[in-house]
Amino acid sequence: MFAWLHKSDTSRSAGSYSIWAPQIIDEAKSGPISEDAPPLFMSNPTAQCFVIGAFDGLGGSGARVLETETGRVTSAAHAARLAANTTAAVLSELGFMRSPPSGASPSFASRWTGAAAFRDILNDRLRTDFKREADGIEPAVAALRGTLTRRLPTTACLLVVEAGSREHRVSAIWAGDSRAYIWTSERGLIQLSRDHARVDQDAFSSIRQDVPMTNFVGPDIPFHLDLHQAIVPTPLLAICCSDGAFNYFPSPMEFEQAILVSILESDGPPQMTENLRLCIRENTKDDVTLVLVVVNMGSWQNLCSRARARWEKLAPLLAPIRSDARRAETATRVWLAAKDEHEAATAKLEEVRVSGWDAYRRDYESLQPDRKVGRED
Amino acid sequence: MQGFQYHVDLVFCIDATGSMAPVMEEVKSNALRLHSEIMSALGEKDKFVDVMRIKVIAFRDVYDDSSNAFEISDFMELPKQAKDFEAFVRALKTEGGGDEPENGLEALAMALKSDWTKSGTKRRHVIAFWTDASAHPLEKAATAKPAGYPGDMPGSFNELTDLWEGQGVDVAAKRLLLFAPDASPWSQVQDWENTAWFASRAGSGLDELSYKEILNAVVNSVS
Repeated sequence: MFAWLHKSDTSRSAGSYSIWAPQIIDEAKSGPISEDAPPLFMSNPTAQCFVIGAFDGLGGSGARVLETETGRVTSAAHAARLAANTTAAVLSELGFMRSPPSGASPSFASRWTGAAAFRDILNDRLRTDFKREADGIEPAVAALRGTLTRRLPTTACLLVVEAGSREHRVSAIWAGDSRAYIWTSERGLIQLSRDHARVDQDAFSSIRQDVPMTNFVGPDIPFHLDLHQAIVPTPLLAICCSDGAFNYFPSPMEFEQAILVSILESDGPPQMTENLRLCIRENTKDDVTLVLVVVNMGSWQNLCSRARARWEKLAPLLAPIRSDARRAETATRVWLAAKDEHEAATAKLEEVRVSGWDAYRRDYESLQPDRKVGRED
Repeated sequence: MQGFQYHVDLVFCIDATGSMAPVMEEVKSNALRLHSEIMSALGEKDKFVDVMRIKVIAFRDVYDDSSNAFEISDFMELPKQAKDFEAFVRALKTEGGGDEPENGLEALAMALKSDWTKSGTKRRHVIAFWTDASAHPLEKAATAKPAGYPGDMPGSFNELTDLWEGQGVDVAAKRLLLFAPDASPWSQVQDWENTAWFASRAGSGLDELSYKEILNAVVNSVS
């Protein structure tokens, strides 16, 4: 048995369901404590469903440092962890981890409360918990106010995956710009969530434009958790991540490329995750959380062969981008070297002129009358 | 992989009326260090500003004295023109203004209408605004426009708000840092998008903690 198979990997007669252990990237870049909460993963193999989540504290508006029971943390970091904890608590209370009645076939209806009701309940609980927490540790009216500073601001993004008899139901629940994706070899990376931003823009434009968020979790704003559901075929990869994972690749295609290359250059999930982590770290300037779960893939070889098939479709699209990116990088290097050379040459020219003048001026000024300091005439 | 280019424009609006005299040196000192601290704080986060430009708008009260109501620099590129910037700021003198209000809203409108950079893949257009006084309503110019009143000004606070909300600035790039008293119209301006307001009291400056918090708010919002 491979170590990376989820210990409760299972299949039932009603349909196939198997998942591998979650692959997690959790990197702090903003400081010693990440402003992202550790990613959420809760799995109920008996009921054949799982949930993953990413929570990204908003470091700009949540920059204030708070004294908490666990020490000094930014408002953003505290908010992300509060959202993650509340989510896990609500899932447990709603029986997400409960086994279905003996003999019952796992169907969407026979399981827990369901994603839509969960979204509503979680929405209310986040409001209550954030208000209580904020009032306890952060003054409502501080010396520094305005829309650029918020109390306990964070994104929340969850992806619930429930097995059906033939297909799976995926439910993305989110507020903010953390994202839920699935990946299939037929269609590649598919974004299920839609960022809550001031300007509705596509994923490519949003990399270049950091448009203000219009909806995120916090105690002082009327936020809402959005819900989007789809029925999808398997096998698939389920992915939830903060914007630090995807927002520093020049395009969404190159984010998918990083995922594919990390698979194709590995011999198993741990190496795949390490490759992906290194690739994201090389590009990102932000904290990163990413959780990825492989669903109904069977073997590692199967995942590789599906990744290869997808790569063959994607490669012709990426080839000219890679070629022009290399050209642009070379040109930038040449330009920077020339710019440095220009600045150095200009400075040297001025220096040589000044020293030349110093040598020249003795004869040049030899018959001039003395300078009358402080007088114009 | 091809990285992003960060281009940052800073416009400093400084109330240079007589009442600012007790805090003017501190305002100048904050203005002179803000750009370098933004750059070094971004550098600590592995985000390097490729081009930073800075511009200064000093304002007084055109209704009190139209001769020196506004002193405006061009954009200066840093660090290349750091000496020009420093010389401009250090030369500012607090004088005139009479009683409040002053022409803060006109200065803010001028800042919004700056020739903001359109280059770079990631941009920030930051206005840092210092005053200790309320502001004349923009509508006042409709009935009594003195000589020296700037042209092409919005006719009302709502029109100014529209400029901020997208007609005048890049919605993704804009940031407003307001150091102003809890008085009209600043308590309304705090509701504008991407605005941080430090509610100052007359005669007292910005404490170090609030300064750091503002710096972090700007730096962390550059993704």
